[in-house]
Amino acid sequence: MRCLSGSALVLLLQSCTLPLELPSPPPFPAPETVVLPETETLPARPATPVAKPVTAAESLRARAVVAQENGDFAQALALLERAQRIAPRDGAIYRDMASAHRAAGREDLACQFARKGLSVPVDADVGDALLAQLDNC
Amino acid sequence: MPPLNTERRDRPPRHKPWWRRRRHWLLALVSVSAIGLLVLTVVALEALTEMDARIVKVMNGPRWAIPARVYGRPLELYVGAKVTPTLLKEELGRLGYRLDDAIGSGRFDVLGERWIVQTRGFAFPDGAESPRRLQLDWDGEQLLGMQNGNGEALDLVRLEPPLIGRISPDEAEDRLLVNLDQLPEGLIETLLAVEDSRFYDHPGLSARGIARAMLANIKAGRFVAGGSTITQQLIKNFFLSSERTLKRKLTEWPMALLLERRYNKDEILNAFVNEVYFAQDRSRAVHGFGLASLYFFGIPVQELQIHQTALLVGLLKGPSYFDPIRRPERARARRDVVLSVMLRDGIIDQRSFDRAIALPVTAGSHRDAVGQPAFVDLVRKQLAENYDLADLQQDGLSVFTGFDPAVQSALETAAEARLAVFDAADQAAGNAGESLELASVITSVANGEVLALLGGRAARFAGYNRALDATRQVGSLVKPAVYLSALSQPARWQLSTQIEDAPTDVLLADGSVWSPDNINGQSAGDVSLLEALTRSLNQATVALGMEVGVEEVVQTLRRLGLDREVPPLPSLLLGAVELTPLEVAQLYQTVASDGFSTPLRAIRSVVSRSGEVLQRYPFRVKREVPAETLHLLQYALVNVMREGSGRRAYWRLPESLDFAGKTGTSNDLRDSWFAGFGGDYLGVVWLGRDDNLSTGLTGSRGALSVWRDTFAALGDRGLQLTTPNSVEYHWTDLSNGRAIDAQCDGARYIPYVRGSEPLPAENTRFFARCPNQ
Repeated sequence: MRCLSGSALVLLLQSCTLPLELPSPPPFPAPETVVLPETETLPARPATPVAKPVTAAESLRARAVVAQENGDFAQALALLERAQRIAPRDGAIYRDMASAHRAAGREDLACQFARKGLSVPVDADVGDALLAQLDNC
Repeated sequence: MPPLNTERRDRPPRHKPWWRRRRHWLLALVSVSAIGLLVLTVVALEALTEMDARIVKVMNGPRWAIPARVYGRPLELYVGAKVTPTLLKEELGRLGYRLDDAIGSGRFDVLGERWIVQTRGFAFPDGAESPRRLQLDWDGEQLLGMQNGNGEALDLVRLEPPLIGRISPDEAEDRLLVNLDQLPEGLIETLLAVEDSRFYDHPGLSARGIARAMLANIKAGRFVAGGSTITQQLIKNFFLSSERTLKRKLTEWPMALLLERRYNKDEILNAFVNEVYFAQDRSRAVHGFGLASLYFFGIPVQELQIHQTALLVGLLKGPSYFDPIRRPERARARRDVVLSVMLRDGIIDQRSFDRAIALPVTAGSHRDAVGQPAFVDLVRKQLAENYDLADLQQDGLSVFTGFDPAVQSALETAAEARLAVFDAADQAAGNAGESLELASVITSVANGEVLALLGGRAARFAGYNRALDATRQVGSLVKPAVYLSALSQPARWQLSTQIEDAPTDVLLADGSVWSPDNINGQSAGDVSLLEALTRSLNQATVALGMEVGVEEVVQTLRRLGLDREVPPLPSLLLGAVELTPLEVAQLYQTVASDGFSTPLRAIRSVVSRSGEVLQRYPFRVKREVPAETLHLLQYALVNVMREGSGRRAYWRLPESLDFAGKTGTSNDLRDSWFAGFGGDYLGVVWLGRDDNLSTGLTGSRGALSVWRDTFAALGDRGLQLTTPNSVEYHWTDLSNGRAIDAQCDGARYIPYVRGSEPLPAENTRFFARCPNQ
């Protein structure tokens, strides 16, 4: 009886309620726009590598710089960690990690990453930057 | 005048109408009815309010308990990456990519040294990776170049991460949430055509459907059909039992109407495609089209083909009855019915129909996870520091880890092959005890991520996880800590310092005397620190340790990362301390990473169901051991591999590469250990028996062989020792620790902490650089 009367009442009230927002799963990345070749012929094979090994880590470092400039230190460090996995002996990555930690107010970690950077072979620019970081430790 | 009343009395009595005669009754009836109606309305309103509240609570809440999903590392593709065609093919296989024409996501094609891969994309915590058409050019084993579909060079692409496990209760529903726009073309149309063709027109109930069901019920003489719309089915699944009773129907109808009032059609449909039940996979109930597609076909729902879409939609009528794995004929007949509906309603054309109906039913019980219970066990333990188990089992978290399936595969293959050899030897020797067990941890030298883990010989079965929980005596694995303690005082000890390897008596706290022996029962006399560690001499190590101080050695172990109370007893110097393989890996990680302690991490980040990063587990370093001291120890451990107990490693590893490591063997050969590292990986291997009986294997004969085969398969690039500025190399006569010329017999070029350089022998004349020759 409860249910029957309920049904009747709902029909009466049908036009009185509003739909609510529902939580939805995280958005899926949109596909890259790709122009497929019109013919079956594939592009010519490159004579030389089209990207250098360091490019992968460098592009991540560049994105990390942007994230850091936007104040998103967690994102900057996530990108730098990804770069570090690719090029663990690239001192510039540790320099950038030290810089990101310092910008985020984590002085101790900044010093530790500067020391880590100096434990791998570095060029003069990176070495100077790491030493400058250590000056503040 | 006669009184008026008299006259009235004389008239015949007037006949009252029935309603006047019974008006009291009527009044009572109307009142009762009104009250009854009021009561009913109140009751109905109360019931509806209650139903509405239930609906809102479920629909606006998390709706489903979803186990945490644990993902391995995504494979990064870039020029120069350690990715070979073989490795990429294995990875694509793990991810369910199909080798065909590479048209459509999740497919790839091999055209000689050019590969086309249509990636799926993935929403990573640090940014989304778009689906792409990739062109990879190989030069043998090297990735030469990478371009997108427009011919533009790409510097970095990552594939989606492999699913390696779930954290779920023993019996649970599981689903992979999808949005309507992620479903393949034709699926929704087919679903509506088969299940509820007037879905977008009715208010939650279908009068036509109910009438049809009533007729069926009358014919059957019992309640056999309810004429359910999709809305009703959703209500039934969410709130009601599956029994076919009138009472359930009478609850279902108002709730369906209420649901339709609250939510729009697409929201209801979206909930339905994720809610609906498909199969039982052992203790796990498979719900929703997202997971059903992975379970039956091993592919994401976006990649379903027409015949697969028809099969899944057809299954809804009776998931058990039409089970495509156990009853493929029935499933095929049902699929063909759905295909006919698709053709009839113009969802597919005749050509597609003909092609689809000719295909067999190929559904299988696909494992959508690689299945790494030992590693997931470690993940669970690390997560337990921040999350309740219940939350992990139902909040639908995504846990991203550094687990590397390729490394795990190399480790499992090596372990399996070696165990077969050891088992055969056991059998030949007539050993009837418990079989040999094995545990291992492989980490990344660069950042301390745990890449692979074996908890026992049965890698794919959950159970006692020896890598995390078995504490066993480590034997000589502890010796590097003794030598590191000494080398930390360069004014007193260098690698060339002479110590005595001779019978020694150590007075213990309880008054007893301990007299350690070397493994061969002989003493070596005066030896350098380098030789003592290389040959793993017990007597020399105890003498050194006692001089340095056992407490100092314990402090060194702490600096290396030991997080366990260890009593500072002399027997510690020879490894009478029980540690797990994971703890040993933590100690050696600090040695491998040049003296920086890096907490071993299984997890990179935890992401909520809605994609929000809840927690990161960042890479951290801390200088714990000075670079110069650590360099000396690394040099000595390389020497162990070249000249000491680790030299068997070079039976398979290239001589041109340096590795550093140490064997460990406990009393009576109960435990066989090896811990070693190259430039890329650190590996710890333990072999032993659960009943603690002898393995019959030293660290060198047992654990090292597993480590060696694993590292050979991994292709580690070898250790590149970086000499700190505070270290100098000098030619040295190790027999006396004096400086000599390079050309002298026995001259060794060994590292010293600056300021502790060796002096020439006192009797060396100016021109005589080889005093003993």
